[in-house]
Amino acid sequence: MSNGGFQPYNSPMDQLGLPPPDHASSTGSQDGDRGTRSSAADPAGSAFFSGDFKKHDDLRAMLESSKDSQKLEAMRRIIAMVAKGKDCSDLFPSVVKNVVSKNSEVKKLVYVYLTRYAEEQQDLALLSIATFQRALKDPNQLIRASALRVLTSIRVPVILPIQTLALQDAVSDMSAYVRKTAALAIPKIYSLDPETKPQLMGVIEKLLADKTTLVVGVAIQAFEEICPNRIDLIHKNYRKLCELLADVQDWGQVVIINMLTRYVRTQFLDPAQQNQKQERQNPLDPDHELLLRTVRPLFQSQNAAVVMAVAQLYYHCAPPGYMNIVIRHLVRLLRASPEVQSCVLTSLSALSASSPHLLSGHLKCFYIHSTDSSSVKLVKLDILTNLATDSNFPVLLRELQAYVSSPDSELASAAVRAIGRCASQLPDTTDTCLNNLVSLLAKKDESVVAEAIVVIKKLLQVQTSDHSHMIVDLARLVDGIAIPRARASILWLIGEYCDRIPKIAPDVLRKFAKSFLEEEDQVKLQIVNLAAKLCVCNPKQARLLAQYVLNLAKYDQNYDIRDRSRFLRPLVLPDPSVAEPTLLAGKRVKKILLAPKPAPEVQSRFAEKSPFQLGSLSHLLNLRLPGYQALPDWPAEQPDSSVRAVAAPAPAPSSMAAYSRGGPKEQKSKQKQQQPAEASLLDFGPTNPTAAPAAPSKSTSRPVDPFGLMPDDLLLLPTPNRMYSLVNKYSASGLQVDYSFPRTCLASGRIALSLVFTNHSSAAMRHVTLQHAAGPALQPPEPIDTLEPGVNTTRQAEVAWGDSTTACQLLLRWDNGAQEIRASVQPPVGELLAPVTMSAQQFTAESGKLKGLNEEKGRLPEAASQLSDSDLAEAVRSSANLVAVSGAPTGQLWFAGRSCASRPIPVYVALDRQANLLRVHCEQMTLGSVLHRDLCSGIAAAASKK
Amino acid sequence: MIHSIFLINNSGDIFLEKHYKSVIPKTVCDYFFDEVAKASSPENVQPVIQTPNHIIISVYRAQIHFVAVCRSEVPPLFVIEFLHRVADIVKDYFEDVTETIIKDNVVLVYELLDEMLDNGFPLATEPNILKELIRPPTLFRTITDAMSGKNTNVSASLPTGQLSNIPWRRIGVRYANNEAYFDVIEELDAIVDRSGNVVMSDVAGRIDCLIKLSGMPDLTLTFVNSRLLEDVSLHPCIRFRRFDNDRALSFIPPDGSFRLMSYRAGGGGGGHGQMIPLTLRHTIQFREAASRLEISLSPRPVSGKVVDEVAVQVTFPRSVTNVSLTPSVGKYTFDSASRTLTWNVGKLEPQKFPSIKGPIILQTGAPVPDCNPTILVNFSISGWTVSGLRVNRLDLMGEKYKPFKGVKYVTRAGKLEFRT
Repeated sequence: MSNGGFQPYNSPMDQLGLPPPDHASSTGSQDGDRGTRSSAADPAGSAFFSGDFKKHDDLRAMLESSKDSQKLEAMRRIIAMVAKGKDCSDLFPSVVKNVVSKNSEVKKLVYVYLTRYAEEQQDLALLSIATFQRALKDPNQLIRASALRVLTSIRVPVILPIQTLALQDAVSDMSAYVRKTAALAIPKIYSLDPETKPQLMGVIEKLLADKTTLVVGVAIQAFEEICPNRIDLIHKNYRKLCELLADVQDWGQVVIINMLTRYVRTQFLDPAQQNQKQERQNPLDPDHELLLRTVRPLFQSQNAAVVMAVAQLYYHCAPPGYMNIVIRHLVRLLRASPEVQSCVLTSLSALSASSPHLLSGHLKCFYIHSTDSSSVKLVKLDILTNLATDSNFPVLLRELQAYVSSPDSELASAAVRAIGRCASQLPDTTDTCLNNLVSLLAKKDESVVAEAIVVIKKLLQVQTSDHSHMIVDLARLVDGIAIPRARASILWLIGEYCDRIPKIAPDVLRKFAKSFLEEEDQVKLQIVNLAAKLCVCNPKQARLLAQYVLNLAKYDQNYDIRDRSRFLRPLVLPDPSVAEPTLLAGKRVKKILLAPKPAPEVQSRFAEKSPFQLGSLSHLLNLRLPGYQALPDWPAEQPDSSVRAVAAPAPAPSSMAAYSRGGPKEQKSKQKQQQPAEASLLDFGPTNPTAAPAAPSKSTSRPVDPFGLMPDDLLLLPTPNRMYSLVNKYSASGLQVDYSFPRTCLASGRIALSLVFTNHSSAAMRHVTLQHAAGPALQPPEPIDTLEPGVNTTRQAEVAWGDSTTACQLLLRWDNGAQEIRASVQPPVGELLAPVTMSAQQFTAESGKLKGLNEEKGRLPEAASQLSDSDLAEAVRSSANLVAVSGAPTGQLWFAGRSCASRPIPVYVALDRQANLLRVHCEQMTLGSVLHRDLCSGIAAAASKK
Repeated sequence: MIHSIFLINNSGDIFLEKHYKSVIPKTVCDYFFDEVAKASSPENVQPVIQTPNHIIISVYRAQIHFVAVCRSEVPPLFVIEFLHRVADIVKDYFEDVTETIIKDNVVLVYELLDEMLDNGFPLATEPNILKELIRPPTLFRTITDAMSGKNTNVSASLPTGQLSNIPWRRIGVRYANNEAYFDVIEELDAIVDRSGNVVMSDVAGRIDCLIKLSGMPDLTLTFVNSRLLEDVSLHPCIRFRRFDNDRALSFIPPDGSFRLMSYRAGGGGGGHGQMIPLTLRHTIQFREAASRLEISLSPRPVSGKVVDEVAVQVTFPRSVTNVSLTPSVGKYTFDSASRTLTWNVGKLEPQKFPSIKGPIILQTGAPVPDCNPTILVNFSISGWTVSGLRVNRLDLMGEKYKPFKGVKYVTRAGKLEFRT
């Protein structure tokens, strides 16, 4: 199949020396019978023993086969090997040929293979490029998008210009999906060659202006990877981003919120600071508030990453009063998966260290379950300790005691440390804690006891009062304890406070001198220390022992111990033969050895305020990672806030209408101005830009922000102004009058008419008037005093057509009645209507009432299939003054309106693309059938223009 | 963002790898294996591991480590949520996640992974969209494929959901029987200390749905007592604004089963302590000569509902080798590898007090443990919720048919533990 497709490549393939097909065919058919699964492991397995040249021969043969099923089978087996991480790069030539396959799965698998191996086989990969270039022009958006995706995923620097070109085309593609793919492609091209940055910046700027929820999130991701510091690109899009946020996919929400956090920190004043400077809090900047408000519902997201993003935004950017909500929602995340729990706890632990009062109400949420993972247990313990206050201490201590007797010894020893930290944080509780710790010494679990001793040692250092009885107890225990750290701690304590226990200390030294050789290094060091200290305090009893210990240490294997003994010996056992200097030191030796030592500090891991953005990976690891964007400090002065103003009026906050999230078509009410190819359903911009200057009403030129649209605004919006001719310059000696229907809704059942008078003659025309002659009543336009040559003037008139399309006869006079001409205006039935906004439910209910004779049903013109939804909507709107109903199911376009008569008649139009049906529901059959005909011809006309 | 994904089983085999940027050699996983070796159990592996050049973020689901390798700053929860989503999608496609299933369908899973991420950034993660791009295997399709000789997993046109504002639902859904089922499930977490006081308790609820409705149904679910709901999280299909206004869930549902919302039932702190539907008495003594265990249960009446699926689990310290117990009701098992005693009691009959007692056998010569094992208890009560939450009604708009509607209430034990 598709031989024509790869014909051009045949010659390079042949040069590569493919194996003769018949040689391989026998193995191929054998293998083909086994299922995908068994064969997935098999070819490589058999190849292990056979030579390299035979490897994958069967697969090659299958790829060469003319049958799609064979190719598919081969590709599946290859991908199965790729997935297992086996090297299949030698199959590249055979695979790349199939890039032209018509079978969508073969093609898909070849794409997958290509992206994996193109980097290793750069020259061969080039053979596939032409196919992608062709596919980029395909009418099917999925094919365009996937071609762009694969093309940009091929990491071959040679094709960079092709990639960039394709990207630039795709950015203004009709389909939002292709534009999304384009946004995703930007970082790929950038990573291939950072030199392309200036070009890519232009592309990013374009994509940032995109108003589709599909594109925004990815565009921001590209922005973050390529030019995260160009905050100025965001200004114009800031309000749009805020409004769209709720409807963006959850992954995009995370990226956007994280970026906006940095934006807020550079563009607004610190809300907490304002609080201090002035008596009352300054109101927040409206834009700042807008973000906080639109983001807030996302606290309820099911995606933990979104909740965390919102939480960190509030933490870094909201006034302090909001912290309670932040904590509530972070605590809620603790019910999610263990991995999420662990990450959230790390953030909470940072919060609990910096501002414990915020979490104090949630103490019980951090109680440890025996099923928690060990890292979760430790972080929870850290938080609990940070939250300790004098008032909750009794409860907390009981809880900590429960952990101490837990079978998990790691938790138990951590709990002991936690008790120690509580004691040093809350001085009033130190005694209780110490008693508790001492009672732990009776435990059988050695690690707990050891931990307790270490903690007691630390606490005793802090304590000023006498605790000699405790040290005595410890000294008694030392024989039973095997853990070196604990033994070392006890020895240190005895040495430090040897003057308080003069009777026991020398005896302990005696015992340890005996066991010196069997001790661990850290214990040995402490024995040496103890010996030295005792020798100074109590030379009578200890001198000989000390000498013995120092001698042993002198020949120890560990050089630390040898050094220590050599350093201490001249201090405590001055050699009588050596003179002065050492003796001087000898006098001060007590000061040196027994100087008061600063107490160790017991702190949480996050005691120092982490400089990193909450919830970021850098924060979690407490390490600056590549790609981390530091959170800027608040500016001292208010930066210019007008930069965010878009030409349109600020979007009303309530614009997120009833179906804020997932309002099916609501978001599609977008304008076309910046994106000519925007695929929007409702298009309010002038269809024909040249007609715009002639358009009469002021509101035409008003750029409309599509996101600020209220349903009421929609009624006022001008549509594509189709101009009709009333009199032409040839029949009226130079005066030309054109009219259009501005579609302004008038209460009185009248239809507005906008008239443009143009003088094409060489002389000025005086007193131009338009009067009613016959037919429906006319509210005549204001007379024009003078119409200079070549000038045009616009006037408004109103005609009371009601429901009928009767022509209105007019009398046009100028030059004080010297010139006179008759004309008539007959409105298209579509212009007799006024749009009505309604929900999809209302639409189905109401249109359901108008069935049978009241329903005009017919086929859509065939040409309609060429039109996109937005073009179709535009065609309908240009033929009739209707408004699209938001929430219509995909594939259907619904419009609603009513007649302008004193008793309005509702009109409903439904286009069903799949059934190829156009239905008009209307009480008045004639109106319905005429409207149906007009719509059909309108759509056909729009299609033929394409 | 995400450079590569590896799927690793418990014996340390990398059975699937997918690279989204340049290839990262498998050896990066050695750091991960070191970490696994350090951890006492696979669940205890740190989710975020730092290596000299990479950051490894992993999730453990269904005996499989889903490992993502990153090189630069990325929100860790973003990656974790994504990896869970991968597991969810596999489950959605094949009804379960196991190593065998993934290995059997390796090409399909690989294609899915390819669609889910592009250059490390999530592309399509909605099951509804993915299912249109890559068709899930069904028995029917296997048969038709075999008959027609055509078999392809891949669709040639863009899924409708991709461009729509309701990406979670595709159009043209048709069912012969229209059904909507709602399961209100509440889980009671509690810690009871050795003297029987409830130290903490919390009720976490969720509403899981199975919706099989044709067309574009617009549903509204209202509650009798919606003020009980606290700290809710909502499926993206729910209209936030409506919920904020009158606490009604108004939504166009995804097709199939999904979690509609989860919540915490008010009370907080020790508010639900009295709601634990059973009391437990225990004596666990470790002695050199005769170590003993005795546990007895008694039901506590909860509005006339039966407490079912009661199971008691105790994990003993290292020096315990075996137990020989006699239960009055049910059966017990002892797993000597993990030293876990599981006593399946089953239904708790009123006025009956099931108990289990007998000696514990310690390893000879080992020190007598002085720590106290925690007793985990499981139960389930159907037709009753701890919080008392009740669904008021379900309204369907936008479609004409009358669906079959069902609501089920279940209360289960979450992390219910008794300290000894």
